[in-house]
Amino acid sequence: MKNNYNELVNNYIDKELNQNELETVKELVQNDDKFKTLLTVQNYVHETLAEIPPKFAPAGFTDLIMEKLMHKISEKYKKNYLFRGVISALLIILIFTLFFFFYYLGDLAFVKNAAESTGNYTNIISSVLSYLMHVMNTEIFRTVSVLLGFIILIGFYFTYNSHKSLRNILDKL
Amino acid sequence: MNKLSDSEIVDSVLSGNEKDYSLLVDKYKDRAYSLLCGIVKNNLDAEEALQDAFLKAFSALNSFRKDSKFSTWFYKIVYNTGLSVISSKKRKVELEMSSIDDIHYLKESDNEVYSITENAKDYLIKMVDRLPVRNSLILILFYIDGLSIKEISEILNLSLVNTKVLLHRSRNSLRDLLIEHNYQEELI
Repeated sequence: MKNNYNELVNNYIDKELNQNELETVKELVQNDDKFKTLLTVQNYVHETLAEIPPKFAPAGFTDLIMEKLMHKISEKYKKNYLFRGVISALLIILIFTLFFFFYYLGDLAFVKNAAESTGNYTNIISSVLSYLMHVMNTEIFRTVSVLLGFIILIGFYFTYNSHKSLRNILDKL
Repeated sequence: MNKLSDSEIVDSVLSGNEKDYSLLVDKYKDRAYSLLCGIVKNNLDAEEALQDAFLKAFSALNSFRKDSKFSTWFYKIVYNTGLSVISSKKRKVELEMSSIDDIHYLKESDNEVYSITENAKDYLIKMVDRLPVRNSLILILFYIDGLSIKEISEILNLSLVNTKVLLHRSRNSLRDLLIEHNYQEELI
């Protein structure tokens, strides 16, 4: 019986009763003191709870959180700047290495020979290509390429993670 | 201050205006604090958990996908943070959380509460605190935080039907506590 009463009372509070059930509630309120008590107290609980305001968080809480966050953010940026500095230095070294390689390319003996033998520089491109192929086949070049590629990939990963706006743009794609 | 939606504030924070996060903190701190007090039953632990929850939410803001409301997403974090606090303190939460058929018994001290509490609302709040965690939690989420059954079901990871059953049982438990204290004599 109590379970039926509970269901009826709760559905009444939640305004989920049909007309017949509402009539039953009216009848029970008039004739059954136990039901009347349940309904009255339940209704009181429902109405009073709805009026209770939330507890106040401690004073100055927002400032405290923002202070902690700003500290956290500045620490993160410091780390990012260090990492970006290292990556930038590596990239600059890479760019200078390539620059010097191409700048002094003409001074290399086999390029000179190729140019002198034909009287012009038309065969230089094929010479350069064959030289590059030769260099690319060496063990050192492959090791260095893999290492550089690895460093650059890690660099991109961290740069991606540290740039919220970049990450958002990429995430939206 | 113009009224920005939660979603707009999140976008602003993610685009680099981290200080806008204070708008979300201001908006949700009190309700989240009430919820945490209901979970951990201790103001100091609740305050600590509240800080943790806001810091976690900030760090995870990128994972907020906007397929649900920010409040639901945030309350999930608050709820889980509260549970972590309890489990770290090795309270017997499993017993309280294992079932929606929680049964509680009146303590002797409960009878004293009414006699020393003049305000009916304060008395009711104290009674809510005496309910098992999940029962008091759902009452806070529904009545004080004003969340819908659907939102609560997402936060507590329950089906809609079970959430509703839990709400009804929690309300019944509170009512029965009042009746056992003869509180109905004040009302009828």
